Amino acid sequence: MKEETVKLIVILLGVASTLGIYSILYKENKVFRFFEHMYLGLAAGYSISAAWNDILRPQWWTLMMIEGRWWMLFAIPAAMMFYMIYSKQNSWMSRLIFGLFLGATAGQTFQSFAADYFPKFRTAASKAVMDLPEVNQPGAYGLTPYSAALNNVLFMVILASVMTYFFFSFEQKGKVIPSVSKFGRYTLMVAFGALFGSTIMARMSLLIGRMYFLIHDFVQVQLLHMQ
Amino acid sequence: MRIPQLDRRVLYMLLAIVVSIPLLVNVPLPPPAITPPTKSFYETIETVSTDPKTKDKLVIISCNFGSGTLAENLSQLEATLNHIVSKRMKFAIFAFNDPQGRDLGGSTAQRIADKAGYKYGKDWVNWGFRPPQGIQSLLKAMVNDLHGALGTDVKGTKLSAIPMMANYKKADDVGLIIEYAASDTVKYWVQFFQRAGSTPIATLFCPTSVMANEAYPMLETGQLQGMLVGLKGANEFETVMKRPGFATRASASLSYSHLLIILLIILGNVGMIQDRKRQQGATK
Repeated sequence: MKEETVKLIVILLGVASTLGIYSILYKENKVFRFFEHMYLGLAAGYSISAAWNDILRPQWWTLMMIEGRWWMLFAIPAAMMFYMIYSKQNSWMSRLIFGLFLGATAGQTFQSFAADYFPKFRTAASKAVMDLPEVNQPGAYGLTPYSAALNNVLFMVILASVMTYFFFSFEQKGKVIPSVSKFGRYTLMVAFGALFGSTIMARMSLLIGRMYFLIHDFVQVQLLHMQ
Repeated sequence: MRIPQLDRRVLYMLLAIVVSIPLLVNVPLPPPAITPPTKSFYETIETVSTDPKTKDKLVIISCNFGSGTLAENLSQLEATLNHIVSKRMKFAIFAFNDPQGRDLGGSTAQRIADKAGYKYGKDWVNWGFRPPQGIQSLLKAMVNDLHGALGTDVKGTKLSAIPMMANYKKADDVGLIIEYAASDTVKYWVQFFQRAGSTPIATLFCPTSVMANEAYPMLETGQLQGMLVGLKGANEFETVMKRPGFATRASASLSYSHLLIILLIILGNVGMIQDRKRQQGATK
């Protein structure tokens, strides 16, 4: 089959799938359900294929069967131990392997926590007003010294007020604490608004991607032969 | 008819029209303002590609996205990969969160590499997909032995047999990491690879816009050196590169769709306030 024909078939399938999935916007229908299930099936099949072709075959099967690393056979009983959780009599075996992996994961979590959060703690704690980064250094955002100072002050005030808002150990009485807490709540709401705005932008980008496919790849290039 | 009672399908139709028009006809829009994360993203690639200590090191292109976020991540990948090949930097495609990243990243790299005269195995390589469940252990193993930890490339060739990989054996041989992701997978590079060698490796992030908020603190702390925020970031990068692509063409659709949503939010709230006043009037 010619390459052009294959490309046309792929694009037609893409058009049918896109319109089929978007048909849910009109109302619930069987065409949507068909394409939804087809997508799920394809995704599952694709993952299984990737797991075998990229992981199990080159990293395990070939090494064991062709390069003679016979000890890799022990991966099978180790993997089977996970499934012993379904046997009342032999579930102790699953606990052994789960324990091993839990221990390894817990150990890695120490490292991941330190590498991820310690720099954040350090930056938050060292945000003194006068300790300004060079304008072109990472974290400076190209800010001038005065705007960087204002940024630092804002950061410290918002950090303190948001932490006050989440301080539930005692009743927030008086004038100062509830006011600071309220300010923290408002800044949180601003942050949630920004998060929601980003979500809208992400969803719009996905829609634009599909519309571009329908308009450009299908109508303009395939039907009208425009470039 | 009032907005709160409007059929949602009318809104969907409006949105489809607003998004489609800029894709059909050229709608003028001023060039985007280049935000600091995009500027530092560009400057980091420039610095790494010219610094004698890093210019010959490997660039890891980590493609952890699937077809669901093509519009954002693929446009980021195309824009930045064009920059990488223009600097004649050698790169490796890698995926560990979504197997589709292996193929989407690989096919895009193949197309751009062919145009730039790059040869597979000599100038670039595709390491393929590895499972996310063991990525922490894999990255830790990669620090001292890239060949042993990864084993083979996507074609099943041993990394030790690939000419280009003879010079790249451990984390110290990596000069730049660029993560294209639909989730927060950049954290694995930061936690287990970035600072595990003798010098920290510059790390750049291309998230979908919904994921960008979580990554901003990492720019502040220096864990990330730059970031392209979704389609908007890709548009900014194309503008900096003076190489318009899909993101530039889509930016008008993005801006006008945002305007429509803001307008609908205002109209919806006005309608709601009017309804509330009417109800209050009726109870009085």
